[in-house]
Amino acid sequence: MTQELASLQVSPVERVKYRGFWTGAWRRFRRNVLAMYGLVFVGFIIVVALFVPVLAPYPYDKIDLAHGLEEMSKEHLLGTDQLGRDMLSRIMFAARPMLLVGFVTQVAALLIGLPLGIIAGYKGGVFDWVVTRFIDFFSALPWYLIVLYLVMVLKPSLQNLILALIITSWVNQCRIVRGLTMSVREQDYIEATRALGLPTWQILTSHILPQVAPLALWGFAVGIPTAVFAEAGLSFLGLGVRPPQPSWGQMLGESGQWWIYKPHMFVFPGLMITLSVLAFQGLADGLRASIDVNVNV
Amino acid sequence: MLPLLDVRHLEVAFFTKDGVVKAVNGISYTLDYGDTLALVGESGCGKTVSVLAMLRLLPVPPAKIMGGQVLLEGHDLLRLKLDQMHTVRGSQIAIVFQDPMTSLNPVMPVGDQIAEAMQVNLRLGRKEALEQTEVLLQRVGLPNAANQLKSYPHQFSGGMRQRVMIAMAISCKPKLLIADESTTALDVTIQAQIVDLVKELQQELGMTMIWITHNLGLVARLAKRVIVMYAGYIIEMGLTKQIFANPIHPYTIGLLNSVPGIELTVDQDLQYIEGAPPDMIKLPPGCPFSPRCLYRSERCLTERPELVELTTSVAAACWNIDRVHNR
Amino acid sequence: MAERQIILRVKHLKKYFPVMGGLFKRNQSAVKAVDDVSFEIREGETLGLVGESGCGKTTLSRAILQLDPPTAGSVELEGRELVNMKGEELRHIRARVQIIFQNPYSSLNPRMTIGRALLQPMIVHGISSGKEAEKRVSDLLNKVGLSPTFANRFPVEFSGGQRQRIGIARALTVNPRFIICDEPISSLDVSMQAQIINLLRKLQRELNLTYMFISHDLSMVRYISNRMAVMYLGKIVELGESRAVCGMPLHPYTQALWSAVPIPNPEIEEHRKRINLEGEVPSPINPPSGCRFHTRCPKAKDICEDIEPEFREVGPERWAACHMV
Repeated sequence: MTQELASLQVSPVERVKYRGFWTGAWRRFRRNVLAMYGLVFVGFIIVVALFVPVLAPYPYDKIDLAHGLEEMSKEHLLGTDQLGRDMLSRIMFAARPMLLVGFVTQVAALLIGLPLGIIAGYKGGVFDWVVTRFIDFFSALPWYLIVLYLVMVLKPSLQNLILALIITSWVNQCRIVRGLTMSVREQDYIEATRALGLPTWQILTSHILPQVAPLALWGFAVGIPTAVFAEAGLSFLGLGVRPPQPSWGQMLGESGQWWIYKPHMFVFPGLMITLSVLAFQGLADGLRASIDVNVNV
Repeated sequence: MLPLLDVRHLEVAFFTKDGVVKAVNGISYTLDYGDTLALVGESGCGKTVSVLAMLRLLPVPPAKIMGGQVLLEGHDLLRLKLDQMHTVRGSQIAIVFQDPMTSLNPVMPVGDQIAEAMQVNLRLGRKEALEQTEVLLQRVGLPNAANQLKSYPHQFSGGMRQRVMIAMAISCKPKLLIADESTTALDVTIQAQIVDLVKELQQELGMTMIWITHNLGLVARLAKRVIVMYAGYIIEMGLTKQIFANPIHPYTIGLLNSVPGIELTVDQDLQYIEGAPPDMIKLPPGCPFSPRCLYRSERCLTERPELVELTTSVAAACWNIDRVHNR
Repeated sequence: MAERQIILRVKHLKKYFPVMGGLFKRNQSAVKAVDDVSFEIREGETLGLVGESGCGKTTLSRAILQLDPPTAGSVELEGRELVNMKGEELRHIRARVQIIFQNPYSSLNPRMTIGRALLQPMIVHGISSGKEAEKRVSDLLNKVGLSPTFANRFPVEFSGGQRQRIGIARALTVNPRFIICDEPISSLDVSMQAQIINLLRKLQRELNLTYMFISHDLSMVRYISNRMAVMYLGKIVELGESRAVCGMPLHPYTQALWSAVPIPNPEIEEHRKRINLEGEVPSPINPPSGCRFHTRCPKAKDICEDIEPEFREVGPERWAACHMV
C-alpha cells in the first residue's frame, strides 16, 4: 500500500453529519417552549387575519345601538361595545392592522438597513462615516417621541404610522448588520475570495450576506413586537388606526369611560395585545437562542 | 528511595453527549527527585489531561477519573478531598500553561497576582510578599522589576508574560514544575531564552520537571527521559538519548521521521505517518495505532500490546518489534 | 543551468502604516512594517521567508498580493507591474498568484459547501462552467488527496489537515503560477505537517509551481526551500541558498536564530554552543537607528548604531545587510 493511496483514505472517523446551518437552528428552535408558543400563536393570528371576512360573525362596523354595551351572550360571544358593534368580530378584524404594521415596517427596515449596513461595514471610508452619523442621530433620539411627533405632523393614520415606524426602525437593522459585517470582513476566507479575484458584489452576496442573514432575521423578529406595541400605544391615544377600523389599542382607548362597569370591553383587547406581543417576543428570543452567531458554524 | 511522583494506571474519561471520550487509558510512570521528563504526543493524546487530572483541575463532570493512583511522596492525590488540593497546588506542584494571555488576570496588576499566591500558600504578609515578588521578577529577567509590579498583563509582550507566569509558578518553591506547552506560542529566540531560564531555575531550586510538548527538538534539548503518548496510552518511554538514537515503536519512528533533520536534503521526501489521529470515542480494539501502522499484523488489530521493558532504559508497547527493526 | 524565467520581482517594497494621533492631527509616525525589501523568485523555485513576530513577513505577503497595497516600491509578476493596477485588470491577474493561509479553521467559509467554494473562482474567471467545472472540482479534490464525494460537505465536517488540503485545492482552481504559503502547517500536528509538506512538493513538481514559503519553523523552511530570506523588523537581513544560510549563516541575527532552534538530536543539542539574544524585539514604530539589529547584536560596533548597512552581495548568490560581513 503506497503512501499515496493511504492518504486517500483520510480518516476512519464516522462522518459528522452536518445538514447546514438552518437545519441545526430549527432543531434548537423547536426545543424552546416560548418560541414554539410564539410560532403557533402568530400562525393562528395570521390565519384569523387572512380569513376574518369569512370567520367573523358580524362586520366590524355594524352599529346596533339598541344592543350597546351588552355583556357576553350567545349572539355576541364577547359582548358589544358602546355602539353595539360585536366585540369578537372587531377583535378578529383588528388582527389585520396589527400584522400589517408589524411586518411591513420590519420588511422595509430590512430592505433599507441590510444593504446599507453591509456596504458600510465592508467598504468603510466616507460612505461608512455618513451611515454611522445617521445611526448615531437616530439612536440618540427617543424613538417613541419621534414616532409620535411624525404622526401628529403628518396627520394621524395607519399609513403615516407605518411610515414613522419605518423611519425609526431601519437604523437598528443597519447598526447590527454593519457591526457583524465588519467582523466577518476580517476573516481569512474573505481575504481568500479577494485574492481569488472575486468581484466585490459577489463577495458581498455569496459570502458576507449568508453570515449576516441570521442576525438580520433576528433584528427583523425583534422589531416586530416593538412596532406592534407602538401601534397599540398610538391607537390607544387615538393617533393610530382611524375608526371605524378597529385596532386593539384603539378599542382599549375607547373603553376608557366604561371600564369599571363593562370589563369585557378592555379585558379582551388588552389580553390580545399581551398575548401577541409575548408571542412575537418569544419568537424573537427563540431565534436568538438558535442562531448564536458566535458559533462560526 | 521513594520516587517523588508515582503514577499508577491513571484512567480519565470525559462523558459527553456524543459518547465517552477515553482520554487517558491506564498510564504508569515514576519520577525521581531532580528528574527532567518530557511528555510527548500530538493533540488529543492525553498528555495535558493526565497532568490536569493529577492536579484535580479537570471539571467533574464531564471529566471523571476512572481509576488509578497518583502518589506524590507517597500520598495519593486522587484520594484527597478537592478542598485539600490547595495545599498541593502551588507549593508542591506548580504548572505553567501555554497561553499567558488567558492565564493571567487582565484586570489585576502582575505584582498582586504573584504576591497573592505567596500570601495564600506561604502565609506571608502582603508587604513581605511584594518584596519577594520584586526579587522574583528580577530573577526571571524582567528589567525594572520594581515598576513592573504595578503593570498589567496587556502591557507585556508574550515572552515577558511567560516570565511572569514562571515567576508565579516558582514563587512558592514547588517540588515539581510542569510546563504545559509553555513555549509553543513564542518566537524561536524568545523560546530559547525562556527554556534556558527554566533550566537555570530548575538547577537553582532543585526542582523536578515535566515538560509537555510536541516539539521534538525541545525534548532533545531538555529532557533526560521521555514518554511518548498516543490515544491516551504510553507507547514508548525511556532515556531520551536512547529513544532518539534507536526509536522502537513505529509511531515514534514515524514522528521522528516527520521532522526534517539536518541531513535530509531537498530531493528526499519526508516520511510521514498516514491517516489521522483516532476518534477517542471509538478507539479501535487492539493497538490504538494499528490503523495507521505499516507493520501491523492480525494480532495488532485485536490484542492491545502491553508496555514491556526491553532494557533498563527503554520500554515500548508493540507486538512486532522484531519485524519493525528487521525490515 | 538554463536561465529560468523570473516569476516575481520585488523592488524596494515599502509598507508603512500611519499611526494617527488625536482627532485631527496628521500622522505622527508610522509603523514601518516592510521597509525597502527587494528580491526575485525564479520559476519552479521555493523561496523560504523566515522571521519572528513583527518582522513583517505577513505584511509583505499581503503587499505582494495587493490585498493591502504597498506604500512604495514595485511588484512585478511575470513581468507585469502589480502596484497601482486596478479594477478588472487586477482582478484578472489575481488568478496567477494565490495564497494558502495559516489557520485552517478560518480560511474556509463555514456556510458554503467546499464544492461550491471551489466552483466559484472557476466560474468567475471563466475557466470552466457546468459539468466540466464539476469534473475539475473532482479532479482537484483527488489531486490533494481527498475523495470527490467530499464536495457536498461543509468545512466543519473536516479535520485541520483536511481543511488545509481544501485550501490548497481552492488555490489551484484558478491555475496559478505562483503560490504564497503563509505558515500553512503551523496549526497542524507534527504528523499532519509532513503530509501537507509532501503534498505541496508533489504539486510543485507536477504543476511547475513557484512557492514563497513563509514560516517561523526554520528546519522546515530549510528543508523545503531552495533559497531562504531572513527578515528582521521589516528588512531582509540575509538571503541565499537555504543550506548555506543555515549551515554557515553570515548575519549575526541568522546565527542567533539558527542557534536557538532546538534540533531533535540529543547528542548534538548537548554539545551545541548557543548564542543567546538579549532583550525583546524593538517596536517597528521606532526602530533603532542605523542597523536595526544593533541593540541586540552580540557583534555590534559603533558604526552599526550610526549607519544602516546596505543589503549587498557578499558572496556567490548570497546577500546580507551587515557591516561585519
